[in-house]
Order: sequence, then structure tokens, then C-alpha cells
Amino acid sequence: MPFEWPVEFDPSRFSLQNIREQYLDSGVIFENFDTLLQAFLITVGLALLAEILGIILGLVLALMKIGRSKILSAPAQVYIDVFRGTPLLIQIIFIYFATPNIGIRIESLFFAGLVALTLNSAAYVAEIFRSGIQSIDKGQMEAGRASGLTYAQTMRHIIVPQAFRRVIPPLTNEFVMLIKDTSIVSVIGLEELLRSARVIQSATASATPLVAAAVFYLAICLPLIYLANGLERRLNRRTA
Amino acid sequence: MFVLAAALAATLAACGGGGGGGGQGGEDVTVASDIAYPPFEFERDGEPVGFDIDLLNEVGKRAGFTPEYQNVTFDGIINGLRNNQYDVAISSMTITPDREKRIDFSEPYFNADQSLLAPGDAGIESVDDLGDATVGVQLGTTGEITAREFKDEGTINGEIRTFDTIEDAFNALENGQIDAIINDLAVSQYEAKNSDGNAEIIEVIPTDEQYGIALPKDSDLRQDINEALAEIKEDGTYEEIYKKWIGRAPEEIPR
Repeated sequence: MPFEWPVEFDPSRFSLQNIREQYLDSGVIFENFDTLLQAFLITVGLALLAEILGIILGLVLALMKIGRSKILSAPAQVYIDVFRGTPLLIQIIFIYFATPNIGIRIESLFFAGLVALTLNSAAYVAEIFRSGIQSIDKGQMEAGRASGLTYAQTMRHIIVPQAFRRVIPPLTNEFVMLIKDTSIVSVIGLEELLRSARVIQSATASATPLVAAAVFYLAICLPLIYLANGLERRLNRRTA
Repeated sequence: MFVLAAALAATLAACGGGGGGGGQGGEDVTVASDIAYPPFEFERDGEPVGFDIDLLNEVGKRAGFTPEYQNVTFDGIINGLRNNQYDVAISSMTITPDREKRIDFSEPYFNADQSLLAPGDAGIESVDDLGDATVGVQLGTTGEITAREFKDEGTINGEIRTFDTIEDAFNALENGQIDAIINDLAVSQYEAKNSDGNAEIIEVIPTDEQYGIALPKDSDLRQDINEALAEIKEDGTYEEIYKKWIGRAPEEIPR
């Protein structure tokens, strides 16, 4: 078989002017700005709600997992393994397209996406909380117990509040992942940022909507990434 | 280091070459198709089959090329042709003036219309009854364009939900997650027949569309394809393929 390069390059189309026309066609953006903005709000709303619900569920899972009761820790472990060990894409497709087979029908695309993202992020949040809680010095639990508090009281009033501060940077990073993961929900048809960009791309034959969507993602993710980095540095300085 | 590079290059070349010839001879031609669109293109035992596949294999035999099918999403086909990622596309694609600005088509090979597909017991008897119902379409298709025209006219007010493949839309309709689907008649008919009465063709939406084989602008293959297509329409092969997949003789052969 003759050798064939897996990539072809057409120098005649690789010019600044063409790049500008293909990727930065402001006309396409002006005409569809409202649609894109609305889709952006859906993306942000979906990520925010999933993060909040994921933190609640994740904290419960973390406490179940580190407790001494096997009845609680085993199911938490299975849950975390399943959701961390399978692709989010399968989880979303399953939740929307396969649960109706057993009588559970989710009507709203937004709600289907929210369920999938919440269940998924809870598994990651649980691991973040677990390592945060376990990073608190053992002596604190011992001291709490010695001064007459129960295990639950020590957890609630002494350990978890300290752990919370430590997990804020990794939780922020997790939130950034979640914002980007909302794009996977486009597969079931929800008109979040990516799907909306693809609908406009298909109608206008321009790649500019994809670039615009990427800029929207950057606009929200970059500040959060730098915020997380800053918080991490401050935390390290204080505990060093 | 050199050995490693040579091994890598050899592997890439082997991958790039595709599955090899199918015994038809001639050059290999990369053909894009959204192979989830029965009865025109779908998979059976892992192989692409259907009206379009039989037709293009026959065209290839006469024009001297071997189609190498690539399964892609429909909304990416036009862009892929424009960027010469594919040599040809056959994917029940309607010839429209808008698309002709970006790509070329062969002579038409299928006369098509749109249709409204919905459960028979949902109280929907025509497009006018849709109101606020959620209508499913496949992204980038003439079904999507037709649905958006209805929305612009105010005939329908509900959400238009886009799916990557028509199979996803059929699935959602069967699950009751959408209320109706606007899509190519022949494909929705095929679905209605196989849905055990869950979905029916409620209304034929006459659009007088014609499918064409899609090509990048100014492709050398266009003339050969048109000549082969004319022969196939002339000598009865077209009617044979039509009967095999559509289940009846064509009313007329597209010109």
C-alpha cells in the first residue's frame, strides 16, 4: 500500500483572511446573539444547580464512606465507583433514553441533564470531601471525643467545618469541570451552549458559533481556575 | 528513533488506507453517510446496507470506483465535503439551492416529501393540531428546515428539538418524550411500519424534494457518477433497488 499522510494541508486556504472569515464572522454572532446568550444561561444554570445538589449528595456519601458502619460505607463505595468508573456520556444517554424502558420517563431535557450531572458530580465531590476530612489531624477527633462530644457532634462542629475550608479549591476545580461537562448534555438535544452553537453552525455553515461558544466557556471557567489557584496558595501558606 | 518513526508512519498509512477493495476494482473513494436512516442507509450485521448503499455501489461499479463508507453525523457532511474530508456523500440528502452554494450534487435519484409522524391516539390529525407540542427533527435536515418554517409562520408554537440521528428522535417519540416528528416520508413510513402501531404517518407534507449524491465543488467524479446514474435509471436497475427497499415500484423515475 502506498504511503499516505493522515493529514492533508491546503496552503491556499490557510491565510489570515480566511481564518478570520471562517472563525470570526461577527455577522453570524450578531444575528444569533440572543440565542447564544440564552443557551449560555442554560449552561450556567445547569452547572450551578448540579454543583449545589452534588455538594449536598457528595457530603452525605463522604460521611457514609468514612464511617465505621459497613452497611453505610459499602453502598457509598459502590456508588462512587460506578459513577467515577463510567463515562458521563453513557450516564446521560442512559438516564434520558434508557430509563423509560422501566417506566421512569424524564420529560424535561434540562431536568434529565441536571439529574445526570448531579449524580456524577456527587461521586467526585464525595472523594474531595473524604480526603478533606481525612486530612484533618486525628488528634482533633480524639480531643473532641475526650471532651465528651459524640462522633457525630465532633464531625459536625469540629471536623467538617475545617474540612470545608480545605475543599474549597478542589471543589472550585470540580465546578469548572462541571461547567465544561454540561456540553455533554447536548447529546440528548438540550439547547445549551454547544448544541445551540451547532444548530447555528448547521444553519449558517460557519464555524464562528463554535468559536463563540468556546469564548463563553472561557469567560466563566478562566476566572474560576485562577480563583482556585489563588485560594490554594493562600491555604498552603496558612497551613505551612 | 528512525525505526520508531518508520513504524509509526507504516501504521498510519495502514489506517489511512481503510478496509481495502471490495472486489469492484478501481480507486477507493471515501463516502460519507449518516448510517442510521433506514431504509436508505443503516447497518445490518455490521455492514452498511440500504437503498443509497445499493445505488452507490452500483454507480461505483459502472464508474470504476470502490466506495469506502464512513459513518458520520448528518450535520457534518456538507462541511466535510467542502474541506475535502470525503470524496462523495450519499445520505438521503435533498438538493436545495442553499446547499448548492456550498457543494455540488449529482442528478436527482429519489423523489421525496416530508411527513408528520405521531402516535395515532394523541389527537393530532394534521400539522395544524400541533399547537404547543414538542416536535423532534434531525439536526441539519430538510425536516428541521420545514419545522422551522412552520414555526416562523406560526403554524406550530412548541419547542423544536434537534437530535443527532433520526433513530434518537424515533426513540424519544416512542418513549413519549416528544409529541411528533417532522422527517422524510419514506424513512418515517419505514419507522411507522416497524413500530407496532405506536407511530403513524399523520400527514404527508408535500415538498417535492429530490435526493442527490453530494460532492465537493468541481469534483472530477461528478460526470462519471451522472453517466452511471443515467444508465441505472434506464436499464431497470433503479426500479429493482427501489422495489427492494421501498417495497413498491416507483411512481416515476426522478429526472
